[in-house]
Amino acid sequence: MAFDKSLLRTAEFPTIWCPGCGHGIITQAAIRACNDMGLARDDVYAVSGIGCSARTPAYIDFNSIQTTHGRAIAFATGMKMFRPEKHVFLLLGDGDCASIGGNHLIHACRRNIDLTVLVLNNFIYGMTGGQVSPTTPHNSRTTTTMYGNLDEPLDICGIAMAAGATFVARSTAYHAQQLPGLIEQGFRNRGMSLIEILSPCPTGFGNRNNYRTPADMYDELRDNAVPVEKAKNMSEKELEGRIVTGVLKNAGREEYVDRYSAMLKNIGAPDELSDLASGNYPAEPMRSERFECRLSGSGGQGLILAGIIFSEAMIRQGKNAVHTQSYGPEARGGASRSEVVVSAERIDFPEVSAPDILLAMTQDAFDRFSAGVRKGGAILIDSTLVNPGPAAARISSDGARCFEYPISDYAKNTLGDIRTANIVALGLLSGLNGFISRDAMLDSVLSRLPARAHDLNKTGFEHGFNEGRAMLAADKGG
Amino acid sequence: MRTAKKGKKAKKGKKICFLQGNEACAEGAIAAGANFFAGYPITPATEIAEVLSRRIPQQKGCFIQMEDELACMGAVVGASLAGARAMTATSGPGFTLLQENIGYAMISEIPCVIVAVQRGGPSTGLPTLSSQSDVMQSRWGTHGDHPSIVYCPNSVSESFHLTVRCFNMAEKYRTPVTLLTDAIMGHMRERVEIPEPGDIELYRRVQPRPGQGDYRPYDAAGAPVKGVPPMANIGDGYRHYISGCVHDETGSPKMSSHAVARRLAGRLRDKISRNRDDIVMSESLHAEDADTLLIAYGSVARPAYEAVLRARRAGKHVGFFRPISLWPSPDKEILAAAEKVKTVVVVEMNCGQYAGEVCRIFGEAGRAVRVVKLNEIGSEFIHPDRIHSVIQEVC
Repeated sequence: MAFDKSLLRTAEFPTIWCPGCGHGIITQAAIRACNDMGLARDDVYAVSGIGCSARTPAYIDFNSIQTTHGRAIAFATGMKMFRPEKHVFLLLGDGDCASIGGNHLIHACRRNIDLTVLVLNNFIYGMTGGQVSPTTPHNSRTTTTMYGNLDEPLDICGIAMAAGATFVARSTAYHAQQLPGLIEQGFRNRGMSLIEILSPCPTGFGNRNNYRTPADMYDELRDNAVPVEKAKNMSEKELEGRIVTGVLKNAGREEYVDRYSAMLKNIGAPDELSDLASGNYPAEPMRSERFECRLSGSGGQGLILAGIIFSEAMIRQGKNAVHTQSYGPEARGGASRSEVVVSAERIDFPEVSAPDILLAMTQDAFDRFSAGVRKGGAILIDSTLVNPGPAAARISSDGARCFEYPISDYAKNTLGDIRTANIVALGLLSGLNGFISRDAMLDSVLSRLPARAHDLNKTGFEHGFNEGRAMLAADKGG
Repeated sequence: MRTAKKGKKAKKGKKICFLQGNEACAEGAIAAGANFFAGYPITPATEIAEVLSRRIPQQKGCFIQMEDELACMGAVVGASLAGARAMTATSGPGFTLLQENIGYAMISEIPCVIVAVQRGGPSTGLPTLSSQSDVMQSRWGTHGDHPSIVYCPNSVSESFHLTVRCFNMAEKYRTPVTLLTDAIMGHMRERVEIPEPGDIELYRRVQPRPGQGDYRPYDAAGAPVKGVPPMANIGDGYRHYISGCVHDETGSPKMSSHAVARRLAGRLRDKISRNRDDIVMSESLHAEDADTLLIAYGSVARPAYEAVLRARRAGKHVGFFRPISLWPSPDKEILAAAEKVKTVVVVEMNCGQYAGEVCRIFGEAGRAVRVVKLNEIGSEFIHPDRIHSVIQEVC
């Protein structure tokens, strides 16, 4: 058990710790453990939070990082993931680790990330002057429990074991001989290790709880400690008030960063963004500088995707397109609206004010939006789901045209897949609008769908396109 | 350390893509060499984490979903200390939880990038709807005096490019940098020109000379970037002490020295203020003949500019100013754009957070200008018609 004094940053001395505090003993034990393992000091990250324990890294010549209160485990998680080759050990207090940082502790244990956490448990918030902590014994007096602590203390080791830490041990500052070995075992465990070390705080805790001298507190640690092997044969009643020491859990399990590294090995080449550089897609010119399209219905009908495909076709044609969407908090079934603005120029306001074309795929969408269509604009209705009723006359008197097609019926019963309805609708829209290139739209459809869906959707799109063209011709003829 | 192996570079050229604002942030991060992302699901920012959970591992970097946003920011700062180009992304309530460790990154000078996609608040507020109500949170969300660098894009393309810039500024000035977008910008899809990777300029943190024995982590004397000390990654052989305490040039906490505290706070302020010309970005259009100036930023700048163009076509002398860096404020740029202006209209989706800043700017300059506030507080995107009618009233 070597002790390399050069690992102490004596320039930072004296320490902030009070006479009788156990933290110095634990610091020395940690240094001995590192010496025994032959760890190079550049390869150790010593990470702490806030409190008396948190000053420890300042006194050791490692890469020393004091973080914020409770968050040391979160910081250490980032460090370990990015530099898996480093040994990351944490020096936390009971409040730091189990109160403000309790959630991080649980999740680090769950991940079984390779951190070695020393909890310097002194039953109290020492630095702030002795307030109750999650490990303060029941009925103890502290500066915030002057009538006695109502709570029962938290079993930090129990939480760590239950949450999935793979090495868990407990000892006390009295057991200075035992500590380096336990800490070393923690270091050697590839996974989440937690070593709880009870450490007297004569100033914050002893003073108010009838300990005459710091030595009384160490005597109590000595007298109450029960080695885990012995504790196995003791009843719950016999163990009341005793401190079970030694290795409580040592069960190997795959470590988080190892799993991550293995995952990286199985990942293929980076995705390439698809290039929509404009191709040769002849089409009629747009009738106005700005064209607005509203695709409306309910969640799950694929209207967001339809809006994206529509926009990408326009970009392939060398135009600008902006797509916006609105939806409720429901993943399926709520009202869904997908809007595209197309222009040969820059598009400032990205939303649709008065659509040139409205696709209505639910009655609700039709009732809500049909009145807002621009004069001279068009409404495409999925007549399977929407009955325009008396509104048709109003729409026509407003100077808009109404086109009806049983989109959902065709998709479901002819194509045999309701999921193609949005693509059939895109075919109809392309047929109804001369400025949309059939080829640009079809290329966009296919590029956004998996190969296995190409044939069916191509059929649906082309059917829609032809129907759209026929409706347009009839409309012009009429 | 996790780094991607450099493969043979195929000549790719720029690309035309159709991306969502949030996707563009994620792609911007990849283009900026981001190799660490910690996130937590939140509407309307989640797509950034979703895209990066796929893209960052492809670059051999680290992606992790943490247990909450407090942990996200902790992991980001920890990874950056270890040498990562690290980022997180969130929205209002999550942005609030990040603030604790943003403060840590401010005082300990750790580069990192935060994307905040604003939604209606306070609290759970309007998760799927947009607002600009975190302008002041982005400035003063964490406690204590500190400078802030915050960029605010008005297009999907700018979301891409400003994300790259956030990384560069973070690394150059050793500070957290925020990209402040909103639900409209995050979910809007638009045409983006993605440059070829080699055409994107990347700034990497200045490190001490190899083996520099006298390295002091917070000593900026002679540093290549004025006021910014070179930064050694932890574990590279320097073994310095880092904390969130007020510290001297060695990093050692000095918690009762007024002189040390003054020196540190002053340098943190000055490293940004003295380099403000390199940091500040803004856009000024049609300001030459303007007697009225419209100021708007982020998504709202789009309807605002459309309204300005409409008013100009009708013969009004209206100019347009867009702060791209909300913080630091483009004070002198606003004053220059408003040289002959009598009325300023500040359009924003909040109760007037930036309008207050505009009043400060004109007040400090001794300029008597009427500041008109046009605010939307119900999270409805402001229509150009509404802005146009205010221009007609005041101009």
